[in-house]
Amino acid sequence: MFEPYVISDDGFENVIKNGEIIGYQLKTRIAYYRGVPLSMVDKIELVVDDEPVAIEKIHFTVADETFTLKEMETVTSTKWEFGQQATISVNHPGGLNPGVHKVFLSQTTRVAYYPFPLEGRRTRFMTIA
Amino acid sequence: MSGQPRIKLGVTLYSLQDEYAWGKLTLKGCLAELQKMGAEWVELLGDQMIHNSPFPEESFYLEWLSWLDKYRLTPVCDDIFINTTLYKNRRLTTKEGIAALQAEITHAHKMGFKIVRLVSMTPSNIILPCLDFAGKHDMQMALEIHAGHGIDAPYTQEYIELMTKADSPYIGLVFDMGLFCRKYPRVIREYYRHEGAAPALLDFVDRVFLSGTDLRSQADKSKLEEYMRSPIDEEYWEYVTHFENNPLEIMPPFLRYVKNIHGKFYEMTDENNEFSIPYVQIIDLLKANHYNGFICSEYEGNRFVPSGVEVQGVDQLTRHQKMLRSLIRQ
Repeated sequence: MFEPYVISDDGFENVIKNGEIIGYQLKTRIAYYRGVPLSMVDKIELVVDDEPVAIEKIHFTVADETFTLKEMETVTSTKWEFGQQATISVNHPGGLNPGVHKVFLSQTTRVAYYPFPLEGRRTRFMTIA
Repeated sequence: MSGQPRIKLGVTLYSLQDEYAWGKLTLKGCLAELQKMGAEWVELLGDQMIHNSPFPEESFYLEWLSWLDKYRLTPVCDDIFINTTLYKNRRLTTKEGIAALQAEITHAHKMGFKIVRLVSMTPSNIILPCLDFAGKHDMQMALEIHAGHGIDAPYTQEYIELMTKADSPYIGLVFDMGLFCRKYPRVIREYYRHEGAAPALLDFVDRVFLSGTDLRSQADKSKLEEYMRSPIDEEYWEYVTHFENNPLEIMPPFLRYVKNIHGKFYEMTDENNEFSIPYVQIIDLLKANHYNGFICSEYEGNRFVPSGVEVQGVDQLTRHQKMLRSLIRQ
């Protein structure tokens, strides 16, 4: 199914800005077989080391555009293309400790022809260098 | 028989989606593979392989046409979606739906397609208002009849009534051969077995399909409690109820409306047959009914390749094309 698309092999790392670690990020492909406007991404859930991440802390970047999840609800002009990696970044000063982390990501899309939204989910153990 | 128009054989790039998603094949690379396997006609999903479809950069169209020329391919059908769920708080209005369909028709026309495939559940009230527009662009609008939304589904019936009344060359159907699953696809069974689905449930499903029927009428889970052990069993059950095992006889009455056929397949066996779908009988029936429209190979077994194993889309497609070509020429 689309599970391998949900969390990419590469791109799980702390984010450094002006010499300080301001958070961490990971990469994801859409768990569906076509691209959709960002407004159709219904829900993003991230759980790191069994702790759910508050959605207010999450930014979503695709095609050089960055939005909060709340902002994404009205973005119809930017598409998340099939196969295109988006970056999910989390505001988390100090970042994650080096070592292995358990990461769960769920992305839900309102596809037009199912009576219910389509969810893609994956849990992976990944390493912060 | 010489001189009689033959079924036209194509490939939908849906079949190569996994290779595309991982960057192993670009759109141009997919077209090159089609030429290598001897295909002459191409179908695709605008939303899958064209950035910002249906509004790509104008330069894209020239590039696309140059690739078609290079690889000697002719466009058949653009599989489109009307994003009725674009907004979180409401569905598209009829007027918005019509505008979206017209944008798709314009885009498909610029790419050289003659058919747009309407996905199941496309709102039927936007079709007739687009009929003149479609005619002016010489674009046939064709609803896909797909397992899970088959001939009997109320929505499909509504569309068929509309289509019959309109009786226009620009409103028709795409038939998906997944409607004729004689055996439940082995690759799906194996995928779910690896995921931990209960063997008794997997066997039960296999038996139902081998007995000549399917599980649409048995969607009541209470009858199956003895097989349900875990959430993965529930998922399998939900999935299985969307498969159909119809008699081939449902197709001929609609063939005059059929613009394109999705040659759905899950697994080409070592004997170069499709594991689930009776292509020998299907092609015989199409020939007997003088069908000379399109059939495009559509590989869907790619979704059920175990994680870590490479999908062999090009090989599977090549073998499916070879089988169909031989059946069509016999």
